[in-house]
Amino acid sequence: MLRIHSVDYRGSFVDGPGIRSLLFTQGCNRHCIGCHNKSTWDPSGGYEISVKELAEEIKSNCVNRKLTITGGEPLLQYDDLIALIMELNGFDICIYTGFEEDEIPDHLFKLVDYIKVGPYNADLRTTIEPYIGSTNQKFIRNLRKNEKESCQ
Amino acid sequence: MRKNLVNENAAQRKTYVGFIFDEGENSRKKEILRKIPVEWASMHNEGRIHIHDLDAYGLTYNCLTFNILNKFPYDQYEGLDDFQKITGVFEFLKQLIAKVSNEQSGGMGFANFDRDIATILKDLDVELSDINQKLVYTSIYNLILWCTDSHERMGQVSYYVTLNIGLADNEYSRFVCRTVIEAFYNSPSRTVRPNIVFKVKSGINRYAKDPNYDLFEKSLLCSAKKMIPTYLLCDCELDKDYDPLNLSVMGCRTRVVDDVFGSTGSIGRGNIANISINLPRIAMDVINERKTVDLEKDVISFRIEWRKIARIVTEILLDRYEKTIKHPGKDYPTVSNYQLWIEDFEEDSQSYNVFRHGTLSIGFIGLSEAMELLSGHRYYQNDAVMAVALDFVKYMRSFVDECKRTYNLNFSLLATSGEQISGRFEELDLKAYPSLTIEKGYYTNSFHVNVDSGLTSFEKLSAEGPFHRYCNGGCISYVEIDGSPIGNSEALMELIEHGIKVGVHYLGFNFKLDICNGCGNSGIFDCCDKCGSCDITHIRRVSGYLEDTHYFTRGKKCEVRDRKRN
Repeated sequence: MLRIHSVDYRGSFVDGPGIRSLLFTQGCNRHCIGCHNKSTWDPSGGYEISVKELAEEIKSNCVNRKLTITGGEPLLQYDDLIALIMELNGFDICIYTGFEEDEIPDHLFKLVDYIKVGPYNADLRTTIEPYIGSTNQKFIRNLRKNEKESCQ
Repeated sequence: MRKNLVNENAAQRKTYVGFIFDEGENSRKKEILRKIPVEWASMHNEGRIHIHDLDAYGLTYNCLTFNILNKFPYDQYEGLDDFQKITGVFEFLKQLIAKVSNEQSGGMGFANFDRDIATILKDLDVELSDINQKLVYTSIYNLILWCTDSHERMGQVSYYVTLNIGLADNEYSRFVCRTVIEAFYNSPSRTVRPNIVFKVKSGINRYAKDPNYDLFEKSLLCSAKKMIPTYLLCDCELDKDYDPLNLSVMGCRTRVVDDVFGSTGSIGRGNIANISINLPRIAMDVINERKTVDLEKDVISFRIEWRKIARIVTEILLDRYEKTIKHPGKDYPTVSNYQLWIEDFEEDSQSYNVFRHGTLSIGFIGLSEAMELLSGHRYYQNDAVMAVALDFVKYMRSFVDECKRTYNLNFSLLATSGEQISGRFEELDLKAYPSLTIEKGYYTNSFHVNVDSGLTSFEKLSAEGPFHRYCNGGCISYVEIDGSPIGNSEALMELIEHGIKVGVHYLGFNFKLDICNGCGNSGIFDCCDKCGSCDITHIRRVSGYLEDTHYFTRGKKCEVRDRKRN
């Protein structure tokens, strides 16, 4: 079971390359000042859904198969997160986490396409760097080589 | 009571000359409305139709895509060094733009700016040395700033210039194309001119394997930052069978392709005049007359009423055309001297041979409101109403094609942006039908879905795409993005691919762009999130051009207020 806040299929232009659906997981203990998604903090908020059911829902609603998993802190539910990623075979997946690069299990880097690492720091806020909120964060690209033709 | 329009035109700044110009323009407009048949004048005055650029009636045409290579004055650069040649060419272009803007009422375009500039510089034996490259960059950068900052035209507005690029075919033209994009990318955030249009075509730049794919990507990164360039999708249903070199966007959306006099494409041609029809008013007339509600019958009445008005519009366009061609070449000294039209002017005899290649456009605004009035549904929320809307646009196109055959002139159907009229029509409709008018301060642009539709970007393009193929006089679809998609060329590419698939001919990306006049920071804010200054310029796109909202017309202010992201 994964505890999530919501899934937004409207398409975001700022949470990784392409037009991306957003899965907000529920629960975060980091509590960054200036957080945009405070309603995702409470670890007992949101609702629980089975990995299979969630994967099916995403598959039928996210037509261009580009998904960013954010939160909340997605890595707090690590095993279920991995299970979901395995279910979403063929998806272009991006993870937004507050953990630093060296805190993240190597295994995850092999399973997704992009990871944004580092906590949000309001003092270092940026609006001109793609896909990050503050300059201490890092957007790591092309973790697995996409086999699909880029634009055809 | 509402205040009268402060600004009729989004690019307007007032000066002494501008004030005097406006006085002259207004009295000229009144005079024209007195001279033309009463029936025509009252249709304009009542807001059933809008005769665009009324002050130019019978005096000049609207816009032109320059046939720049036709008679480029190479001889004036003989014996000069590279520095003088490069600066001279761009100085010539600025003067040409300024002079031509005195001879016509609308915009100016270059169909293949990258290729044409490369040809000119190559013909002048200017080699692409490092120093020359720097000089070309600086010249293009300065041209861009000049287009934004000169409010000289008519003493108040900047020049409407459109540069089409993307089909570069050698290292030289690829360099010019890249330079246009880089210079615009690096220009200050407040830069809103010229309009740059990147032409997307498979085999040239659309796919990763295409030779100009790198330029396409670069262009998208520029759009993600500054909303310019916009994209002409040469592989779409409407355009796919034409040579992309002959396709271009003129001004904010004008499209000139077919020609009953044998040529094809936009080069050396333009629009002579256009008149827009107020669709919601016709819908209200129908509702007012009907005894019972019956969508099928109402749609038939709607067509009949539209046709009556369109016939009169045709007469007005013909009258205006006849009066315009009477002018000899000497009334257009710059355009005739440099032979910027496809055929040459004659100094002392009439200009039929030239202006016959121009288009006469019948435009429309408020399709969405008209359909909502007739059916109670917004067309994009109801399949049956969507079919009715599409069928009606197809009907308008068949009427226009019929005019083309009957009069042997280039009539075309224009999806009007409605800069001045979106508010004006609604205001006049409120007087005629206070209880029926959908009151919000403006009507929706051409066939667009309502700006507050809340449709996703893909859904919006799918809803509007099918209309593009009928609007051969020009049209555009926009996607309203939630925040600037900095760095995200992949997302814009997805929308372009989807756009081509659903028939979109011309596509633009809009987002909110606020600039701090204190420190230059940009983002979305009313007060700067860096330095705290509340002296902010809000840049938005309306009617095809980017502008500072401070200078918007009332209708456009209301439209921007209602916009929701896609």
